Amino acid sequence: MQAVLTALVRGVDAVNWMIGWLMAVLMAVMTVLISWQVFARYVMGNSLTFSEEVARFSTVWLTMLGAAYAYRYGALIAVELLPGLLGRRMATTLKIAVALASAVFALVLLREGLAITARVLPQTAPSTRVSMAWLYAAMPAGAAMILLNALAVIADSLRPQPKVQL
Amino acid sequence: MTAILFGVLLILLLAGVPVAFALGLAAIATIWQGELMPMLIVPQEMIRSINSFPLLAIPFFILAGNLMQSGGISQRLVAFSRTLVGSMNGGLAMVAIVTSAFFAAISGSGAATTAAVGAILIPAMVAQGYSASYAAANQAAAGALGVIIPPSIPLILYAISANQSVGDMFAAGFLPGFVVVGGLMIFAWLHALRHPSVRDAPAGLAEIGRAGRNAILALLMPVLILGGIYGGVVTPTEAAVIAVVYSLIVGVLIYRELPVRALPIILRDSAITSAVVLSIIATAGLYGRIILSLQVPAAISDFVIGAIDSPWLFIILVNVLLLFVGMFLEAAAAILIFTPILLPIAINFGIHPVHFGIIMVVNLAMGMFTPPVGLNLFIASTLSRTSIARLSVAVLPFVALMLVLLMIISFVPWLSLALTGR
Repeated sequence: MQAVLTALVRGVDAVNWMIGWLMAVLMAVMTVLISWQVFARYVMGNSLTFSEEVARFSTVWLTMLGAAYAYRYGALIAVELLPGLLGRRMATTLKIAVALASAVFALVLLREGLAITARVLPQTAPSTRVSMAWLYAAMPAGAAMILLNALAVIADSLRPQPKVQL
Repeated sequence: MTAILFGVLLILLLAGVPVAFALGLAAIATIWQGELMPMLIVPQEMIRSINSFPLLAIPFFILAGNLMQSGGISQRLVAFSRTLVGSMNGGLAMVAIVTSAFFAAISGSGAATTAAVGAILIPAMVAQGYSASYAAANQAAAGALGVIIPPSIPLILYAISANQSVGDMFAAGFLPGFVVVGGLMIFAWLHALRHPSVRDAPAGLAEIGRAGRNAILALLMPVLILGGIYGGVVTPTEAAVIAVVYSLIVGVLIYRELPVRALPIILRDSAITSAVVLSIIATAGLYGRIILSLQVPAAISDFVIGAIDSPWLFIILVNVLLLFVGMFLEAAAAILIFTPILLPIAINFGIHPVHFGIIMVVNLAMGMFTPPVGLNLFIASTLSRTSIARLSVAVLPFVALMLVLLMIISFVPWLSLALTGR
């Protein structure tokens, strides 16, 4: 049992590590595209058409993947009043309950996100002409990561000495 | 159904479910129970809320703030402020306030301001004989300037949800920001009368000039950003990306304090902070959509307009409501949820939408350092190694002071409207 939990936590953390750097790349892409757009418009006098759309799509991906990542390492904003008032055991139980609630949210978002992605598959984005599924797929992808991380948080709480590896 | 929408949210928030997930779950529970609309609206509304070009300003301002923090800009602002007010009674507390105001004018967030300025000044204040809890409380309160003085993420969000120009909202934030700076300075001076501490030696004009020249690139930045937006030359999102490029050039090439190998980590950390704010905006947008479909705004508006007849009373009620909300809900979520509910009533009472936005933002800025939950409070507590419990007591006088300043800003619309040219 312990070995399974440890493997789960390690596996999710490895995926998170990759996602962390993917987010750095998305941030860099957004910065380069929009600075290029500003330069093109004010210095070269012509405007880019695709940069805004790609930057917006990147932001949506960054938000969904980042929410899962931030949740795992306790960086999401939450009211941490009650856990502070409870004893150690009760606080752990509450933490698991919160992770289960987050998992329910992720499950609904995963199911509905997949449905809407399938539905928008034939639609194309106005300026890049790619399928709108490129935008909407951020929802099920982010939801899947939130779900995985909720499981990792639960596994962490069940291990004797929880250790978070950044 | 309205009871489920609000009740489930309150329970989830108190249990410690992250705000972004709690808003989504409360919306899901309401849709499921009332069979209002297909569940497909959940991903649809979340995408619609964040797939917007003006919102791109948020990650860029966060990135610019982090680059400035690591690029030596905060130290130069501190050195310059010290030559200006360091020799006065309560000098270093005032330096923290003035530097926070400068930093607020180049960063869009209260948390960034508290972290960037507090990291330098809280230890410096303790070294000069200030108590750690006072230094931390002063910094947590001064950090609130980060969202009142433009550029500011909450002001952008209000502009989007109230359909106002971001440029107008930014112009409106200036004078109220100065009111808060003035109030905090007077408070620091009074505090120092009873708790004397070491002061800096007075700086001569030459010294002020030298420190000013060192900080000139940081001081020019607000002129560049806000001038560009207000002059209608660039959009706020473009101004934000200019701020990123500017702080990159200054930090890497001119001050040479920002090593290129540190950039990937800064990019990743800024992306995470952005996701924390944007994920709340995504589910708050969904939550707001459900509120609208239940016709809550109309019901509340009918009730309020029937029950009270004075705009002053309405402003006081709004302030009480938002103070309470700000204690538990994050500013971004509070703005997106409450603007559609409250703004139509405010307009009905003849309150200008720009002025109303400033009232909301100052109010929620206060929530950032009001116990029990406040981001600035947590950051200042970490920086000063003071417990949240002790800091919560030390910050109470600042809460009282801010209430007075909030009343001034609420009841003197001129402060918000003078610079917008309306």
